[in-house]
Amino acid sequence: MPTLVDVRTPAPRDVPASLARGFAGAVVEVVDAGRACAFYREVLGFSDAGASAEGPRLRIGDATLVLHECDAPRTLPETGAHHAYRLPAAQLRAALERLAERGTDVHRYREDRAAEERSNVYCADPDGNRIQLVEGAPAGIDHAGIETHDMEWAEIYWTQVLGGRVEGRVGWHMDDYERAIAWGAGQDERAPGTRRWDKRYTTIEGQARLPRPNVQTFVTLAEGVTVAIFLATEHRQEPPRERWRGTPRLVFATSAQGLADIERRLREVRLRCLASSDFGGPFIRDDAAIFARDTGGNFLEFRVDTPS
Amino acid sequence: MAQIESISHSGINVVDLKEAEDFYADIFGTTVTNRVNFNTDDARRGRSVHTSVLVADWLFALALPKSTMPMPDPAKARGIGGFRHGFRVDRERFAPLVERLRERGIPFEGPVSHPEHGPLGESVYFQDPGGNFIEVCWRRDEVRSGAALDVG
Repeated sequence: MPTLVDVRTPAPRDVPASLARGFAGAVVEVVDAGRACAFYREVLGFSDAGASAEGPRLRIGDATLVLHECDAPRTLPETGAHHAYRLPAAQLRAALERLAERGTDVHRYREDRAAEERSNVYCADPDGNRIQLVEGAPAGIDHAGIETHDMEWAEIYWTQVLGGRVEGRVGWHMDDYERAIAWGAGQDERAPGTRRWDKRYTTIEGQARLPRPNVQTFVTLAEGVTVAIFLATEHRQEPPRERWRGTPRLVFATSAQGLADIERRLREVRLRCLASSDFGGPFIRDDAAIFARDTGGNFLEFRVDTPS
Repeated sequence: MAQIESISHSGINVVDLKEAEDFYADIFGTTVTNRVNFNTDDARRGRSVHTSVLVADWLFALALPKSTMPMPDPAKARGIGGFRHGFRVDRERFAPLVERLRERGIPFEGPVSHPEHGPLGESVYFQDPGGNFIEVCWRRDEVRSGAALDVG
């Protein structure tokens, strides 16, 4: 019998430790996989790792990146969606030199998340997938940013179903609004998706637009496995409700027991806003992997420690 | 003359929405009914950022101000110029609430006994984390149609 959860449900206490033990990889969409491969290999220092059915596979540390070709990649460059790759200092310096040689725009934004204050280098791949470069070791995926249309349901899914804990929030504190005013005045450069202009609900103060923080929630699934969830400021194309496997996709590494626990929780813990089993969801089990999607339509994969 | 049926809701500004939600849930047993401006449609409409919580049968909106608001002297408990929000509890639940404030380390003034001929029995005064002045009292005339706040 499924357990229905919502915003009033207390934080779960019975979640097995570390359902996800790390980032196993990501699948991103690109127009030209060859061009994207060259960028990730030659500029950022990724290595070849063969190919998957979805496209060429590259490796960074223990994680893989699959470049899936499609005509209209879902890159969302103006949103908070991004992948943060962790590179050792020498590799990061070399990457920055190559980005400069290519004339690729590199941004250094002020960060809301304390853990990223010194890791604020951003660029984009040739298709517009936004990349954050984080100095550190070992190389791999440091964190990822996704967007969603309802922060409450997203938080419930990532905590109640996947067992994450909220590491931090933006947009819940008065100071966030003060910082947004500074951003609105051009005094505080912030990454796309972190601030926004709201049109006023009323015009009583004669101000047509209001700078605001865009709401963010940082969820930690395990030590060093953090997902930044950004509020979508527009309704963008969402995958059909009956699709549970697709791209772009975040891939998490887990153990065999972790995979079994994830499957059990996906069966038992249900959110009203997710499709019922009438659609075949809320997940697909495929041998050593589970494919699911969160409440915002973000595709997820949980895999027993093997490349995607 | 307008025929008012009841107070529909009221709102206060808070410093930290999550902290305020947790405070009122812990002290008063409130439940979150909805949060506003945490989904795309609200954002597109530019709605204010707030959480509505249910206190007994009354909606109380915890709102984030648009910029920094001044905080009162933390030593004050009774409000500035007497301005505060007063909540009524059953007499038997008054002492447990005072004890809860004490356990949580929340500074308060009271319990203060009111004159016997007045409507109020005793009150305690304190600030919420956003510097809003709160009074909780039991009433001598508490046989009323409304349900008293259940604070566990």
